[in-house]
Amino acid sequence: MSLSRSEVSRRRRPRWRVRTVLPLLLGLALLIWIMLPLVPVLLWSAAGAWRAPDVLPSSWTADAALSLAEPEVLMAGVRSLGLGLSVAVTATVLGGLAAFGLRGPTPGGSPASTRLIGFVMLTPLAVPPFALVMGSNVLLLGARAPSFLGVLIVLTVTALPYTTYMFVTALASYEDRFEAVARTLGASPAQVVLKVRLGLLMPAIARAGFLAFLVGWSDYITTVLIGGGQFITLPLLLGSAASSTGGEQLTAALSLAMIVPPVVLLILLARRGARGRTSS
Amino acid sequence: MSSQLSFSGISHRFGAQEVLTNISLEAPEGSCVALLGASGSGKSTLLRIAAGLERPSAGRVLMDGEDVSEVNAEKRETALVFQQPLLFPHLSVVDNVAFSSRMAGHSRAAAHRHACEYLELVQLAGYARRMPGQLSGGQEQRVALARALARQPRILLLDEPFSSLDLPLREDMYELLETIREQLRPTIVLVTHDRREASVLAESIAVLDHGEILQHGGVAQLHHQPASRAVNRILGGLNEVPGVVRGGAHHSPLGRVPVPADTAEGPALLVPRQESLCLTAVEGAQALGRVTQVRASGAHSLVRVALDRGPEQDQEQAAVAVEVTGSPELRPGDITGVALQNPSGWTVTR
Repeated sequence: MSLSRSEVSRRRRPRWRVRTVLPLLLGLALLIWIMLPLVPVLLWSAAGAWRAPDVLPSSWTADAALSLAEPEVLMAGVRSLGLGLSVAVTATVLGGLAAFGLRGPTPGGSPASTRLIGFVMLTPLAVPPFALVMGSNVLLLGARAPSFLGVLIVLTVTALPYTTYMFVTALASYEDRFEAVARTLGASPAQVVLKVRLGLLMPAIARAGFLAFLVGWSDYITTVLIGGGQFITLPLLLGSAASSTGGEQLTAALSLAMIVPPVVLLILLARRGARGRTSS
Repeated sequence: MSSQLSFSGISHRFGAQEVLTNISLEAPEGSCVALLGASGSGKSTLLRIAAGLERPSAGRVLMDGEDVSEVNAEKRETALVFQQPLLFPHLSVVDNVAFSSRMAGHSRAAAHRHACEYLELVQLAGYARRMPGQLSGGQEQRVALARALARQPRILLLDEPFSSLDLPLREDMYELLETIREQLRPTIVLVTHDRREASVLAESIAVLDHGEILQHGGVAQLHHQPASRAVNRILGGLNEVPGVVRGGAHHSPLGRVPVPADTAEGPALLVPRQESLCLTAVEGAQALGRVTQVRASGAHSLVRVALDRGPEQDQEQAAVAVEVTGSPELRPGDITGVALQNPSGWTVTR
């Protein structure tokens, strides 16, 4: 017995609904899972008093939010931003170069040596951060490296596996013939790198840079141990506020201040990526 | 502006493997020469050498007689279109087409104006602001063609540019290329493994096999006067009838077929194309045979016939393929007559 077109369409409709609705529900559940822990943080940041078993704070205040504008906090924010951006730039450049080096057999090298170098580059992921930092600390103290430089060096090493991996993944599908086309269209070697290679790798650069920024922006252990308490960043202030009693409001406000820049950066990158795919 | 392109004694090696051997070939100004061959025959390597993307191990590339072998790709004034359009995904359509102008130092506005002329030529003027991901396969290849033409190359190099397109789109692209040739008269070197594409687009075809040019000549010449069995097969010829050339004619189960006067006497294969043969009535037929297979192929059918041995005792068994219009009322086992439509034939000895 054959089905009419309308019958076929009616029978297909439920499956179409499931295919549409299920991802939406899963996406919503994921969003709630991510956002739910932020609700108490948001409430604490504006709470005057909030005692158990109250569901909501009994009074509200802007003191914690205003304390974010204090010079000590602003300077810590600037240092964090500077550290995050410095780690992002350094680790992204080095990760890109490392990935290009790992891409194929290096001159005089072999695939086996390439794999070995790749393994060595990823080892910081396997070494506990505390052990890495303690070892580095001895070396950097001996070298009398300035605290910012010391923190930057160690965090760059920490971020390097992430950035290298991002570029290795991007280069696996990189089409060299784009560069060949560019050359026949009159692009010099420098123009090929600037106008074609960088353009094609921009999504990987953005992803690698973002991850490396997060490493620098949110680091605590390295900054405490290598910086020796001289280099105060937002995570250090946050740690200090969290360890003191009665500092929940400031802790919550600092937490929000820590979240905002990466989220803004992520939105900007996502918008730029979407714009790149759809129009000039 | 177009130029004459010449390859003179080009050889090329990848490590120990020689991929091109002593290639000499000319593409006259404004002509379209097709390099026809199977995968691995070296045709794309030859194109990369023409573009300056590979330096040949030996030999010279000449443009209007000037040796450009040492000139880098970006200075060589050629443009290359690959099988994949390879539009820069981070640039809009107009920025892709304006790429060469921008690299030459022109302002963005001037480069866009120039690019729009070529987008108009490929009938995609309305797509300038789109990103490559928003185009269909055929549109992408048109943009790739416009981008190459906007470079105003002396030589346009096409590396199987239409083989990833489906048949109707390919026909559209053939028409477009015809229009471009009428308007711009570029010198084109086309690499393809599709003999039909080579025949439709090019004035002459160079057949490459294992890094060597087996024959270079006009389209009709290559189809009807191949230099060897290999060329005959690469050009789609299905027939090789063994026999002997004697007294200005080829003697085989197909009968006595006159051949050109300068044909050497001795054993030779007659290579009539399947389109040049016809089936005839049994009475008074030039040759007789038994149908072994009838295969329909759209508006045509291919009939394979095992020919009866001729009157001469030493004649070998032979079979021919005959292309006929429509669907013949023949079945395997039927007896049919076979005849050449042309008064003379062509033979090869190797």
